[in-house]
Amino acid sequence: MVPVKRKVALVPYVFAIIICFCVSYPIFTKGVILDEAYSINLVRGSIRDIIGGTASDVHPPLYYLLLKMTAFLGGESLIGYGIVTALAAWLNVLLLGATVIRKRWGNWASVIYIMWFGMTYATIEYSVLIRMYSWSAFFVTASALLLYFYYEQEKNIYLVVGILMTLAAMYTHYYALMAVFFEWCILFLITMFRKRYKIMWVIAGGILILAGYFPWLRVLASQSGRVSNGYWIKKFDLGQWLLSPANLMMSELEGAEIALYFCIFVVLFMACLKRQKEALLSFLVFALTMITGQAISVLVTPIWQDRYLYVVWGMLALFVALATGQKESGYSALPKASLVIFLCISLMCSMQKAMRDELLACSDKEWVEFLRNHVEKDALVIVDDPYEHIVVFQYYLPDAELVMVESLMVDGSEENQIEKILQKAELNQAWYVIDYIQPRLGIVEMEELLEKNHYKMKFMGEYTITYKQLGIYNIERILNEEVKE
Amino acid sequence: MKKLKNKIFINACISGGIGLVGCIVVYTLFPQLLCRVVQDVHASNLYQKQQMSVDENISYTECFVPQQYSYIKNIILHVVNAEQGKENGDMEDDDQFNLHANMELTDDLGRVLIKKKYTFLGMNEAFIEFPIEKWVIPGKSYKFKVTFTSNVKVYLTCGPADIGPDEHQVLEIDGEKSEKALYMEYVYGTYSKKLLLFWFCAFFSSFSLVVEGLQLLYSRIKRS
Repeated sequence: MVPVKRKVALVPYVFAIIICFCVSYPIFTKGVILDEAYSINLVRGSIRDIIGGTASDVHPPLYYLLLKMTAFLGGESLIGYGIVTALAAWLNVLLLGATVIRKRWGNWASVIYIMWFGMTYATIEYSVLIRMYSWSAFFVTASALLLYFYYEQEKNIYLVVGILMTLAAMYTHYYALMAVFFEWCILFLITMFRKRYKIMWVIAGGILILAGYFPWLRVLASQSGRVSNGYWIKKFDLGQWLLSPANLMMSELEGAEIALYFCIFVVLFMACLKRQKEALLSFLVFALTMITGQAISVLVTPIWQDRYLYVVWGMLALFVALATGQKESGYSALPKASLVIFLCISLMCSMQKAMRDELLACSDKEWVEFLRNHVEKDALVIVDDPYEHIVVFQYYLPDAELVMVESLMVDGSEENQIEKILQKAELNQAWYVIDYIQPRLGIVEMEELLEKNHYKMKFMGEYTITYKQLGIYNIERILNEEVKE
Repeated sequence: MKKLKNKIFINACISGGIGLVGCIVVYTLFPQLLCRVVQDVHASNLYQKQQMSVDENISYTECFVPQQYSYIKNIILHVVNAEQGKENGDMEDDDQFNLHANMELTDDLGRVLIKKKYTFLGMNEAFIEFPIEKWVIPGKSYKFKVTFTSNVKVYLTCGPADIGPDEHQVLEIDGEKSEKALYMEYVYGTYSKKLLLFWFCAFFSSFSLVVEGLQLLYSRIKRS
């Protein structure tokens, strides 16, 4: 006979496994978007290329190195990369939620953490998006928990692992760097006032982190300089600042995110009234990270994107879990159970959206199949899409010679340019791919250009990949007989 | 035990009651929070797109007939920065555009449904969204009038009259009929009962926390 207590302890695991399943299924249904194509192209290089590439971009390199390791072990595979990315979400709910939080704060806190973290659409989206957000969220929450346990139980092992998690977070995303910075500041301050005899250990930990991050500090400085001189992110909309977290909770139902956001404010209000310090500290890390990102965006240069806030999403989940679910909160089963039911409904809405959303439910299998069967590896491909989307086509056609039509149109001398390009590719296959959603030149203009140079286009098919509706044409030379006719 | 059960029952009744009142408030005062976006957005095609330079204080009036759905969430136009770098999309900070626009929506009787000022920020190109959030009658004619009040170098995306979605009737530029049609997207919505239930759950959970939390605080103060 399994004791009842042990049976009850299984409940968080059941919820965690359901969440793991929900966040993982898009791995098998999704294609690739621009940012993911960038990640995959970067990982195709050597480790030195990856570090150099991230240094010249705006992110730290740890996530890309993780992908590199995956590629080294199992080759380049979209599913493999998806699994490695989703692994962070699995660890977040199974290890942190169902094990660590359950053991310290009980079953209700554990279930609420798992459900809050997992039910949001952002989690379903970012757990499989081949970007660093999922791992950043895991490292930030793990380091917060470890630092809290160090403060509470004074075991040095927590401090050591906490330092490692902090460094991992810092090497994964710069918003994670901000979050762990605030975690350490809070630890420093409360140790200073409550456990001064431990302050030297905290300072030593801080020094170790600084030493561990030293190799990247110069890169960080040069990246900051570059970003402050101009970055692609739009100016921060002050009217939206308070609603930013709500955007991460989007579901198919408009207004649902506002309902969830309303809940956060009620929970915050009650936590303040009841002075639930642990919960409020979790919220403080979330709020300080959000406000700092927004303040930099207003005062220095725009660096704010709602999705960056996802790296502290675990802290918000921890706040809600500790404020409502832990034994000491004193709430009966009624509010806890109603909150869990509410979160279950939210999860269903998020899942419905995920199943319909182009980002998660648009496969590229037919397109890949066509390229494999018809397009030679070293073919010339003229792409009619915005210039920055070249990375998407580099992902699908790594060895092809890609020419974006925008680069033909630099000085209005399209005719000379295309003539040279087609002559160069005389021996290889030549293709024209147009994205009907945002073409830069258009089929009619392209046809005219080719005709002037004695080439013609033959329609080969239409394919839909994530956020793109592609038409592909084979470019052929017009034979002399055809010209005579 | 019985006392505890009674307490939970009373709390559930109070939270449920407040939840119902909250739902009525949302239903009557904030209908936009009960709207489910319809997936098939009606949009112009961009096969033969053209650019039209935006002139200051010239009005662009799109006469349209809503199709099928009775709630318009947004109407979207497409603008392109005239200064955008053609080669690699790298933009200087100054190349961001800051577009000020006055929008007016009138019905077939000329009654003004919305009249508002908007500011849009963008870089290379942008889909500028005018939040409408109004119930309309499908099949009746409406006029969506936009006047850009700032002199910025942007183009409005347009095309031949047949690029418009089914909603498009005619485009008037400064009161004169045009042969062109603006690039338009109509985002519709429908009233969602599921969302009303969602709001009820949100109110119920939140207020059960408040009711129990206040009771706990009260008993703590009483004890001390």
